[in-house]
Amino acid sequence: MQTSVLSYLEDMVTKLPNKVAFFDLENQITFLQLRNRAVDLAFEIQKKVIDRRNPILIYLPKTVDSIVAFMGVLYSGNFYTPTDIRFPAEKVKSIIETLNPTAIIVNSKTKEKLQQIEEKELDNLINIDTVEISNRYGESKELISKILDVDPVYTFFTSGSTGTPKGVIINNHNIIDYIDWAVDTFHIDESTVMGNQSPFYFDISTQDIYATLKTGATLGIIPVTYFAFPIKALQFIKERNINFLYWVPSAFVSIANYDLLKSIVLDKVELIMFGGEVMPVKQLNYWKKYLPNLKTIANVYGPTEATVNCTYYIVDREFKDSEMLPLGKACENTGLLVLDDNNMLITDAQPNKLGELCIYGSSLSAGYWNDEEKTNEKYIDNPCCRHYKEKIYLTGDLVYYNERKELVFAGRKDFQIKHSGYRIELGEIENAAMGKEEIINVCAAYHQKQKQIVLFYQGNIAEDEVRNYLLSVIPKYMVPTIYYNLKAFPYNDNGKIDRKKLTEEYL
Amino acid sequence: MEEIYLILEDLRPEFSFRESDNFVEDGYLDSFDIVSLVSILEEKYNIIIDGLDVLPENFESVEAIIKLIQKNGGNIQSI
Repeated sequence: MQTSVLSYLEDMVTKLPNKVAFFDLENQITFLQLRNRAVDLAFEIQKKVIDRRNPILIYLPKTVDSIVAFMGVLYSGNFYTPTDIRFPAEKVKSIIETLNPTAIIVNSKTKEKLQQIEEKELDNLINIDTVEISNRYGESKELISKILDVDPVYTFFTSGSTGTPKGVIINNHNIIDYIDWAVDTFHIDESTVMGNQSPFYFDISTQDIYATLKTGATLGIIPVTYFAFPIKALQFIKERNINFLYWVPSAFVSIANYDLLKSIVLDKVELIMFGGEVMPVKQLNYWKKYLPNLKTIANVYGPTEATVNCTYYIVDREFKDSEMLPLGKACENTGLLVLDDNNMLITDAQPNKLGELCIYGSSLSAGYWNDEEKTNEKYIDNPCCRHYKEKIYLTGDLVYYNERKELVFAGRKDFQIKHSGYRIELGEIENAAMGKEEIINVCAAYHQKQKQIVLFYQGNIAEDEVRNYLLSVIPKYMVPTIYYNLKAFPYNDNGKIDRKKLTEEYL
Repeated sequence: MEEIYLILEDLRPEFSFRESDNFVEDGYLDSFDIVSLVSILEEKYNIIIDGLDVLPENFESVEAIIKLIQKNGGNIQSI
């Protein structure tokens, strides 16, 4: 019986002890080394943290050591919260305040930095560089035996496009449920070498890490700075034989916009998948054109509250640059409901009818850390389940079924605007604008005061040309009246377009 | 030189570029800044910067950025 994600690691210690499990620019670690270092760390943690199920903050650079820290925390019976050493001081402070971690894992360098941020000596730090060798590796299974599948594995703080960060609690059965599906669907096995782009505090990394542990694959951690100089990322992928990429769309987009795949042929890459925001088809078609051995393209979607993903679409047909990829269908063992404003169910027999996507099932998290109010707001009783209690999660995302019975994303409920009596999805305007060849990035917004639709775009094309193009593809009431041609777009920590920053700066 | 400093300070006003030996190592420029900087330089100096030249060594200092502009035929004084 598997009740802990650590069983994955224990299985690999038996099957493939000396295979490299994780590598970064400078270091690598085998499954056996990882287990042993994690057990050493677990006993170190237990010296400071005596009971179980406590939050432990990780304040380390994005390297193999972070993985050791995550596993060490789990063996100790606690759960982890990853942060980024590049986070601004205020963000670190706010996470520490909300989480109130029992211990914080640092290294010799980040220890100083954290104490500067907190402006005091911290007595709950554990330095990963000075962990004592325990030689108690025979006890690892005993440590796991105490873990229940409802015990938390981690808390991720979502950056929240809408305001204050929320800590989403993910437990063992959430991950086991999701990873079972991901491994089957994307045929992840010992021969898979994944290239990690996602920060460890973002849910894409959950698949990266736990699919590696379950299957004996290998995960290459691509240095964060390489995405600022994407040719370096491509060289890393090529040199390290990476064949599987699951990234946010913006990472794929910047490589396409720099036109780099002509110079470096990634002939090992067989699968690309993306999620977290909308992948523009134009840049996807670029990747398709230049990857000679690409077998699978997947568009995945899901909120952190549903572990990683709840829908997927394996690209099975050609898409024009102006078209949009569907979200597809539900992942196995995930329940989806599309509800209208009156909580009535919309089925796939009602094409083009808009509703909010709601999720239920084993991958659904228990809610938010220390925030009962927000938990009750977003996790409600299933209105379609009348005879017993069942929770569903309201995603806040609007979707509809197309004629092929595939789900299609139509925008955020918060981005639905009412303009001249019409209900408009800003996402639909963005999608239309992306169909214009010269436009490489776009974001639509609504100027509440002036009651005008605004379009931010990046690309070598004049404003009136964009406007004329839009008039030819969408109804006039949807065509923006204010235009900003930007040199570049701001992104938030997760690599998504920072709408809040755009609105604050320009509107 | 001054004009490049002004561009950088406009991009990330919170950092002291004039005191840094290496903007990239000091973490002054993230991927968003690099994309912005490339567009600004392309427009201001009427050049096209090849994606293959978007490398840390070409953005680590004002001298390096000037060299990159000159390499692409942009008109800028080295001093």
